[in-house]
Amino acid sequence: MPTRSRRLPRAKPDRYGVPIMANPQGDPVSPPIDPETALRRIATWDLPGAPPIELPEIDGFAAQLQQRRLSGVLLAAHNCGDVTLPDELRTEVIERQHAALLWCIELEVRLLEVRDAFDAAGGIEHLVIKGPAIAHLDNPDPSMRTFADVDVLVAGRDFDRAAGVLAAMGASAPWAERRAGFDRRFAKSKTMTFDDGIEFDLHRTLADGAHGHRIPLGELFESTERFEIGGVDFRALGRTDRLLHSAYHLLLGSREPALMNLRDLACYLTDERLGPDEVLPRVRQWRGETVVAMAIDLLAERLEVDLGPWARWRQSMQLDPAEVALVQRQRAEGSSLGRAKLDVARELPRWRDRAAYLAALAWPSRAHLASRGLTRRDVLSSLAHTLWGLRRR
Amino acid sequence: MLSVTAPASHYRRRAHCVFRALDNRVWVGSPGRATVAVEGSAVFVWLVLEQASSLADLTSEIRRTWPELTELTEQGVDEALRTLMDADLVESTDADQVPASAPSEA
Repeated sequence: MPTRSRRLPRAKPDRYGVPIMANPQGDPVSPPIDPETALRRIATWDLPGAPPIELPEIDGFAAQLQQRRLSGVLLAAHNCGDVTLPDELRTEVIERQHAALLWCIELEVRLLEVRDAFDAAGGIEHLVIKGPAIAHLDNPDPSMRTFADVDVLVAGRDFDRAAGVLAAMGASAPWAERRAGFDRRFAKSKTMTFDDGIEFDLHRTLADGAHGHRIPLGELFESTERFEIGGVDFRALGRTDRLLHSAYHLLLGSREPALMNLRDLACYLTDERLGPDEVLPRVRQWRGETVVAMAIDLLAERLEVDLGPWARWRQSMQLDPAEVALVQRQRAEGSSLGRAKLDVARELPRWRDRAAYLAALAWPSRAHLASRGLTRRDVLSSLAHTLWGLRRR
Repeated sequence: MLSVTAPASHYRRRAHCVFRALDNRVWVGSPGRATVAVEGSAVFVWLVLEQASSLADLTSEIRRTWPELTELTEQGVDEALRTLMDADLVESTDADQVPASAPSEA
């Protein structure tokens, strides 16, 4: 597929200089801020209780901002007069942000094409989640929030058809399905990649592990919010569900949360429309009190933000040790074959689903094994290792 | 005999144009076409084209949004519109064809 965007020239190496403040009395001046602290402060910009932004005296800071997807936030802070960027840094941040925005445009153009293809296939019920939805709905300007791929939540009954439509458009999955119907019934998501590197994540649910199986998926499609891309109306999760998804993604999506994801959650939690009274009924419905509480802990540990009523709720809440262990297993194991998979099996409501899930883990299809470069012995050995670990507990 | 006045032309962004604006530049992409940069006074015209508008309405909206742009005349807005139309990013439509409804759901 031809490249459709005019790429900006490669960014120049960092050469900006931040003037070192001289104190006329010769008093010691405070040491320069370290880059990680500076990035964390930028991630809290315009949130309650946020410390002022300071810039580190290092080369390569514009690249770090781009990598952590915080360039748009820093430029917004500069435009509001909350920080003054040296000209050279500002120029490079803008140049890098332009490149990131070009990629976002590529992704949204593909989203329009996929929408057309979904419609041509008779309609596929879906919601846009994460990147584009957050950029358009939860930021004053979508240019502030960049993203790397497109995530779409697809109704279970349409899941296989959606994957088929993307395959017909030239996208492919990295490996074959574990067993026929596994993705539609049990997977969190299926990643489909186009030849030009654009990734579409088709989500069946919003989180990995046992907690992902507790989410009432049908209800997510009943309270949605609309936004527009290129004059076309798209649906996203409702605001409350976006907050919950943000917390789940932060805690269960990876071991090391991204600063941009921490900022996303902080923005939701400090939104007056999303106080505990409004959100907690939904949290209880998802049986996700521990996930939200632990996500708040993670946020408070990494970012200096006044979470107001959510901080008070967290202080009043006692964590359930069994639930904490469940979350910790999921965070530690991720997609590996471990005890967290048995947690998932326990969460499945019907015995035949549990049997099908465990059978797919223990005895995946030959095509799946071949695509992952595994043998049946590898899988059984991994399973035996897990079971042996359980016996020893 | 009744005199019939032709409806004034309105302008609107072409359908399926995805864009981002940053630092006096707008990038516009759409399916099957290269992403292009919009610069100069065309940036302001593009940004106020949220819905189909006449030349006069566009000019007054730009003046209202950016009062500091005192030098931008209706003629300047017209030239910017021509540039955007030449680039196939904007199309003209008769005023009586302007839909009153919100964006379509594809």
